[in-house]
Amino acid sequence: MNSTLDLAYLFEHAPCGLVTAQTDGTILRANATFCGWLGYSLDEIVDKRKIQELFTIGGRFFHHTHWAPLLQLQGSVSEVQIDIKAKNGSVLPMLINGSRHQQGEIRFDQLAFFLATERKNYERELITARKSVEESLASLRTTQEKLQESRDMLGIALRSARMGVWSQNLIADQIWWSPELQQLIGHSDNEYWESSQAFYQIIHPDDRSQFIAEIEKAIESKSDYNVQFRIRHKNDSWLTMETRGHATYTDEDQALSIVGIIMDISDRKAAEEQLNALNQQLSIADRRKDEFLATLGHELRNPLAPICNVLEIMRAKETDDTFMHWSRDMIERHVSQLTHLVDDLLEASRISQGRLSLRTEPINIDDAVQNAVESVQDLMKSSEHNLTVNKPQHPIIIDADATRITQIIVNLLTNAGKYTPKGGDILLNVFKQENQAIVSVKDTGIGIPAEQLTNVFNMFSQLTPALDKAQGGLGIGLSLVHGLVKLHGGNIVALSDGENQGSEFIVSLPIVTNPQEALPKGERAEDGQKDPNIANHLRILIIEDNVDAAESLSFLLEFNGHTTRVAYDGASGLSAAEEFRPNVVLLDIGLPDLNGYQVAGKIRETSWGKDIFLIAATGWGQDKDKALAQGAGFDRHLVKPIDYSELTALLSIAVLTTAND
Amino acid sequence: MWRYLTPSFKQRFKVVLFDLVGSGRSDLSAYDFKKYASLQGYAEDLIEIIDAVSDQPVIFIGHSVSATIGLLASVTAPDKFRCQIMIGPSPCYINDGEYIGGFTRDDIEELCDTIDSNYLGWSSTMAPAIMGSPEKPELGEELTNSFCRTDPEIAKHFARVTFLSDHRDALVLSHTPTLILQCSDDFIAPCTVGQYMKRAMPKAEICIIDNVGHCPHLSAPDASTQAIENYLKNY
Repeated sequence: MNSTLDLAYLFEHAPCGLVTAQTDGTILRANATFCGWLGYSLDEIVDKRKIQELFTIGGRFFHHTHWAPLLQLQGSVSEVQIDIKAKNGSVLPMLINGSRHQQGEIRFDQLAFFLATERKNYERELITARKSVEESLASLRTTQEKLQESRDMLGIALRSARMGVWSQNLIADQIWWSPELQQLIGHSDNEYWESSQAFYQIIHPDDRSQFIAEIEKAIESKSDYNVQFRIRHKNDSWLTMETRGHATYTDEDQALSIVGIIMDISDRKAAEEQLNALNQQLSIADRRKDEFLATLGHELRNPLAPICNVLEIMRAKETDDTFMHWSRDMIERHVSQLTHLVDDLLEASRISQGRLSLRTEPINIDDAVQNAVESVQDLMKSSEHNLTVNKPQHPIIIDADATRITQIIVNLLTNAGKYTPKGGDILLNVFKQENQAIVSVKDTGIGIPAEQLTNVFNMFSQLTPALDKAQGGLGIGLSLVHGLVKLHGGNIVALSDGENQGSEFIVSLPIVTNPQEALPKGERAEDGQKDPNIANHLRILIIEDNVDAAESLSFLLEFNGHTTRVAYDGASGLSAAEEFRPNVVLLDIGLPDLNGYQVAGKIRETSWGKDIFLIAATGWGQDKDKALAQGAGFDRHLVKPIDYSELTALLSIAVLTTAND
Repeated sequence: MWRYLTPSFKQRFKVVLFDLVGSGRSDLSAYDFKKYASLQGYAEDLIEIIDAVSDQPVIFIGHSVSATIGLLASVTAPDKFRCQIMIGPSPCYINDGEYIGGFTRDDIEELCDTIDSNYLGWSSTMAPAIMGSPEKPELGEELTNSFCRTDPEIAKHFARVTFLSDHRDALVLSHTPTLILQCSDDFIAPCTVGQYMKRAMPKAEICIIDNVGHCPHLSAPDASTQAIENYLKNY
């Protein structure tokens, strides 16, 4: 090989593309490597193509904006990266070094091309990697921003709820307070809470041990803790706090830390206390109201008793004087109405005070219905109502106080009668539904507005429109019915389609599944009342400090054939008893000197007093009174003012016991 | 960029040079992607600059896309322009019917893709170029600052806004006396574009400089200066 050949060979097959071009880019020479890479023959490019025409568009821009000016200005470019389009359209990434030369008048550029596919790939990877890093950074930034945002939100929420977060590192015994908590308690420096001991120092001494104990308990039992405690604010005031949270543990169950929230419940606590105080005041007021009503009823009832007694006497003394007849009937009607009202009031207040007890036994509801219907006959007649009664085909036995059930039905029928304009239709349905006895009273009356339906059973809730009418009332009747039904374990609802659409009251009472002793008791009850005249000739001592009540009762008993004696206090009662040796003593409990229990005890202590039939008369009718009466040796017990028919029923029992002597 | 031209004019004129926002030594943080989604955004900046530096109408010299920005500003605020020199301008790079912008839409898409994927190529190939010319470091630095957009997102955005813009409608609206400096062989702004602009603009003259390339103020500074001097004699 000679050196000329060597040089030509080296040029043609150099490991890079070599091109000589005019300064405008026109290709003057290109080596085989260059032509081989691009797929052109020399003829196709020499003098025919400018070098930049082989570049991609991007490359041509770059050539125009960077390469050409640079080459012109500084005479060389190096490592310029440009993509070249091969003849077959494929794109070859190239690194180009170029330099400008001048030989005589001719200026030309020498260019060396290196394939940069690998480098390009690396760059691409680099770009991709960079892009992904940038994206990760952006996403991290977004996440951090969001985190900060939610932290801010949480902070706002915590601050406005007056809450903070705390934790205790149990290993290092370090306590951490969130900024919200620091703000809440007023300590921003950590001297008061860096260790648990420092923290405990600002907990109220009375609450400290409980606080520590609750936390320890939660750690041990792995449960949540919830403690209320007082903590000293920086300004030395006490805040009432509540903390809730739990402990965290290692895999080996070693407790690591305590975390939780602490909230300021001072306001809540104060409100609770205020509410409690109000509640207490309210319940005192309510109790006083009940007591007032009970006392009022009692005080109203006392004067009624002598009036009733006198009326009984007047009724017995037949007279032809029509004016006397009329007067007596009128007084009787009004006294009866007044007695009813007072009785209802007393009983309703007893129920609300929890003082009313039932004498329940299995009864046939039909009997109660019968009694009730009879009681309201007069009212129905005078109001010209049509009362239709649908009774059950088979007896329905309920465990109930017969008197009370009658009272319930009477009150409902009376109510219907009162609030239905003359000539209305009143329907009483009694039937069995599953294990309930249903008593429904339906009328064509003034109805109940929807908004009143729920509180129609509250005392004093009587509809205002009704107050305008002559029949207006306080709503004691329905309140009593409601109370009595509830006492029987039953339920009552009021239905109405609205004003002037009529009303329906539906009572449901539980049915007795095994009604065995119903009838015998009913028979016995009737026995006592069948013939009160058996008890006609008893010696009865009345010890009572109310002179009118005592004397009118005495008159009435004498009128019915008994022999009576009256005493107005315990001492004279005792001596009267010794002298008179009565069969029956009717003994008031509330006497001015000795009380009734003491008097009864003394009578029982005597030789002659063991078999006397002792009847206690108490004002309040409480179970407690009854028990006391029994303990003091009384045989029976009556509630004042004394109902004469009840008394005669008791006297018939007294006859039986004295007859046995 | 303008180092060959400024000395000739400095003596007689107050010369104000500025970088477009997003390029060179401008405040990159001022780059508002919404505002600069159209060249009009840069035109507003130009008017602000004119207001700041002069209370008289100015002679505006703009190269390439900056010439188009000057065109838009002269339409918006004709009173602020005595005349404008447009070096290698093109109101629209994409061929459209009879209009020859020099590129097909595909070409431009390819260009934009190149820019997108060749961030390293566009921004950092200049570094070796500078090193290749140790005797004139200041020149390389100048070019780097002028051409290299340090933020790739701005570079991509700017390329799209520039190469996809079409402001041919504005040509007829600019009554500012205009000199178009057209290179005889400019790949980016071919002669057809210069001719089109001269025809469309009411007060335009064209001067063709014998030059291959897009930057006659760099590669043919004497001819460029001469052409401008000649033109300014009348203004």
